[in-house]
Amino acid sequence: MSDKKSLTLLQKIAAASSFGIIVAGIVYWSIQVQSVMELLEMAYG
Amino acid sequence: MELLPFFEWAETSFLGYIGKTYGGVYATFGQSIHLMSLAVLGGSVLVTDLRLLGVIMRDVPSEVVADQAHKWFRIALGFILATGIFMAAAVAQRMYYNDFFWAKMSALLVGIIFVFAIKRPLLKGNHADIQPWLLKLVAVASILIWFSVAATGRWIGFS
Repeated sequence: MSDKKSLTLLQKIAAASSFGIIVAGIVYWSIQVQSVMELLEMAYG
Repeated sequence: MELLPFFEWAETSFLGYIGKTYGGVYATFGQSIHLMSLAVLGGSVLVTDLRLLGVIMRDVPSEVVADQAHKWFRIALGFILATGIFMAAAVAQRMYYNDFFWAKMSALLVGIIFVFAIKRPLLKGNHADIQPWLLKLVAVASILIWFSVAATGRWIGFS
């Protein structure tokens, strides 16, 4: 079963980079959404 | 490294001149082909990644889907880069001062490196040898990165 196999180097790099991209993406888009909400609040109260 | 001189040069280059002077060329060879290529690229990314997530085309082996979609991904990426350079040249200095242009370029660079250095080499082999959670993690990261490329790209037009 593949579940019992250890990860190859490429698979480890893929896991680490994917995790990094997801975290960075969540942080970036959270900041953008928050920024837009603040702008809308300033404009419309 | 100071990049502004390069952007100033790009706007006065032949490409920049054509894009600035002839709106029809900018709209047809630039924008329309760029957007169609983006649709093809987005489609190839979504087909592969949704298959890896087990959402669509479950009756087709994921290796087949990934191989076929990657061919279209490369073609679309080539057109996107060519038309993108053409369009950016026409408004190069405006792009230089636009935060979302740099966000898009960063996401595009990460996306290209991710696809050609990690995702493609990983998916070339037998997917049964890869743990399912890893395939899904890669698929989610891929969707997020190309969503970011598309979203920041559209945001350029509104900023």
